[in-house]
Amino acid sequence: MAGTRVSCGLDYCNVYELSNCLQDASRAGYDFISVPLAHPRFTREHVEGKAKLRDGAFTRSDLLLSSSEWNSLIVGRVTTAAVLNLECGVSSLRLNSEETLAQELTFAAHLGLPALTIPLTTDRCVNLARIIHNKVVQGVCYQVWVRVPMQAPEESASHYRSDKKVSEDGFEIDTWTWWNKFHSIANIQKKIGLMIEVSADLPDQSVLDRWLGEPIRCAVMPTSIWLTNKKGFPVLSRSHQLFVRSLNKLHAQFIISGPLRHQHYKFYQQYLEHITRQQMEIDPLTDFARGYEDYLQCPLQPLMDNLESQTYEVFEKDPIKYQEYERAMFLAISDRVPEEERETKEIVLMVVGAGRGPLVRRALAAAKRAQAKLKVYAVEKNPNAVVTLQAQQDEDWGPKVTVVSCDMREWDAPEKADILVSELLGSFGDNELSPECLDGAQKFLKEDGISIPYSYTSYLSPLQSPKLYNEIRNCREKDKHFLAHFETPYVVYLHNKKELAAPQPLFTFKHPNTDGVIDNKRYKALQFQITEDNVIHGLAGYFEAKLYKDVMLSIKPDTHSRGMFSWFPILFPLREPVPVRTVAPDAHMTPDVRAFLNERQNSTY
Amino acid sequence: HQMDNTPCQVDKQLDFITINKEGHLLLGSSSLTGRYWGGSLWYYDNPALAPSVEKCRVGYEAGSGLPDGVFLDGEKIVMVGLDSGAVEFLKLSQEEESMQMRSLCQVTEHLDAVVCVKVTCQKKSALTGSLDRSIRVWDNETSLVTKLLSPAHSQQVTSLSPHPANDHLFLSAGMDGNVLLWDLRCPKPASCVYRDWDDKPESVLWVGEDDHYLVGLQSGQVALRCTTNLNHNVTTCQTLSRPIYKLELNPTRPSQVAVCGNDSKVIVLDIVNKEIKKRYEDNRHTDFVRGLAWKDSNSLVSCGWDSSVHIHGL
Repeated sequence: MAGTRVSCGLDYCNVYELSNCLQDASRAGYDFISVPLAHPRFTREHVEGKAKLRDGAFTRSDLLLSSSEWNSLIVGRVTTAAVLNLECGVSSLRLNSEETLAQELTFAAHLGLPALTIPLTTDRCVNLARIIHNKVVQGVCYQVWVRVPMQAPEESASHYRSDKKVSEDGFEIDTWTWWNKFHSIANIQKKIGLMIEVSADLPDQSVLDRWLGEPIRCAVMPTSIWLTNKKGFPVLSRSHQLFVRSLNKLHAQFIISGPLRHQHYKFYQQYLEHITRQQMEIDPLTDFARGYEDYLQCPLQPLMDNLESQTYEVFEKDPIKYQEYERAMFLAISDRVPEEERETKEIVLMVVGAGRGPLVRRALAAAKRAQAKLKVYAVEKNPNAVVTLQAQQDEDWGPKVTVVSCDMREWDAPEKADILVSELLGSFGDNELSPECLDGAQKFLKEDGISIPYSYTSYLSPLQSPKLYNEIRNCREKDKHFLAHFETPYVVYLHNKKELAAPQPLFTFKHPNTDGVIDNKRYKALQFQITEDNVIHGLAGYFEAKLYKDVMLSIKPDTHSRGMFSWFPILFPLREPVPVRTVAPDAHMTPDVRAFLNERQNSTY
Repeated sequence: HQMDNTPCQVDKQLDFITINKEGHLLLGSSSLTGRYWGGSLWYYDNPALAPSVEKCRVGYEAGSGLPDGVFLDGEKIVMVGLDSGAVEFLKLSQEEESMQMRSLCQVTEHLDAVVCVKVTCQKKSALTGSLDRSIRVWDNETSLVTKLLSPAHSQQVTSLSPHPANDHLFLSAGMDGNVLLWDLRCPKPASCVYRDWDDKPESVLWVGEDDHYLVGLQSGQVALRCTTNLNHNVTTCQTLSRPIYKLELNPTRPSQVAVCGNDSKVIVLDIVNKEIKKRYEDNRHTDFVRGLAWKDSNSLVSCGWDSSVHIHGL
């Protein structure tokens, strides 16, 4: 019948330009490529020495491919030397290797790679297994494919030795024991899988059956194991064909590695597709058991689809947010620099929370449109986003932009800024801790400096939505007391709801704060009038942020910025739904709902 | 005097330098970060002109990084190893006032990066070591592989050293912790002369004619050894605090050896009466030192990932 088509990838030991390699592999019919995360010879120093202060990024920018290409088409490979030296006796080398591995694992998570390849070349892998286990237990988005050769290279290397045939200082030549030792330490099966490198001479069937009982996710097929038929096309021996069909039944993927030994790379992929398609046409009753393969019939578990680099890419597509920021920066630069001083006076602008640099691009565009000289400081604490900032500074922005890789609360600024631009707002305008962050950024601003945004105003509205109330009641996060979920604010796109009264302003935060002591703790009481008989399930929170003069961002329903999707309203659920009943026409009473809020936390009665 | 195919700039990471008998400098550079992971090869009449683009005689752009390169025997042919696993043969020729570097052929025989390119003492053969765990022996006249040693080591090959008098002997070092002595006249040519997993050998070098050699270790030690004594070092010297990447013998004063590693220091050792002494130490580089070449008896040239070339007077 019909089965799923076999999935093949192409392995590159050296990638000149990533997108060109990706297109060449796609033209040859391959679904993905395997590339090194960093250049294998580019050793980094993390402990001591002049090389610790090296300029630039350690690898390519994440902007070269889109998030969806990173998520599904690229398999990253960790530096082999760093993996080997994790077990080294030299302390500084082991420490540098641990930091190099941690740097590459963190960047892989940032890119949202679907899988990561770790070479296993020896049974001395205790430190490696410990590091991988600890990282996977913390939660990662990628699968860890452990590459194990079917035949130990030491066995083949012994054929050139004139010494006696003995093992090198007690190393194991049965490569299954390498995998077994690694897997006994890093034993989380869902994320850690086996990537088997097929040898030219297959071992006995009992050894193959032992391998087929392991969680094989991928098989590497070096071009050196392929035979050449009469017409020059690559083919496999019958024992290799049977093994490939067994691997395909396990839903394993295939990688072609090595130099091209035939006319085109597509001929390897086409042959694998041919023999696996033949397999699905011969076995008719596999269809009856399809879906029951390796099922305990107990239990069912979920999947998540939210990666870090992807989050930046989503928010950078908001057509209104950054357009209004550019308009505010243009008006601020024009008001700050008079016409006669535009060729001589340089403006210092700081972007706090720069991310991947959308506000920096907009600031440079606003200055060019205003024909003003501009010097930009881009401050970001996420080291993975700093890689993208350094790449853009190196290739596009030049020396007018200085990338600062640290938390703004710890940065010692070399000069004060004329304009301070912040991108730290949550849905209620303070839930990303923006008031405290912008108060902390007060120290970077000149006394007559401009803060973009300069004010935030929070709004509350009573809300009826039984669906959202039931969603909250059915939550069990971190074994919190069931009533604790009703004390937590939630960010949600309010669709299946009814707003029972008009929103009222709660708190207003101004920046720069010219008060003597900056205190952002507040208490307020609000009163709402409801004209219908309804049930209050919670309070909806909105915000209006004034960027510069009349430039404004808003999620409040009546002043909502059209087309802006970056923020959703915040929901403060009630522990108990409150029925509200209107009075009869003779009573002349409308229900009043009063809410008491404190420290921008709130409660209603 | 420059050609139209000379690249517009030297890549940031300078990987190797070599000086021929005429005193001319060959410089290999790579881009190990950024968008394009390429490389370039540069030829200078005077080592003090490096790494300047305007003052070079000729340049050549490669499609991958260039870990190592060497001059072949007197035909003005250059053999370089690439990160893609290819080996490229280039010919230096002078037409009137301009010098050209033409690619004779690019042969992809290795499966991974070719990190070590050496020429035998009679300059009839060349040796290449790769991260694919293989060593290949090349015939310099045919540009063909005459011997394939795959796998030569059970881990990556890090260093090769041809015997200064016997063109059938050479030493190899690998990440498996072994230093192997190879005799290509034998059916089983390899024998282990050094073994240490915890402090792996990173570089190897024949020194003298009485079967003595140097081993550079990950701990930064340089050990003097003899191929007939497999269990003990002749002497040892703590040269760096990082792994030793390259050992380069002074061809005119063979008691002197230049040393560099995963550090910004350049060290010159003096081997006298079976003892190792530090003769020179410099720390002008601001990143890893990758290339060493002796200019004359008292001059040493170094290059590194800091995009700088320095000349050291001893």
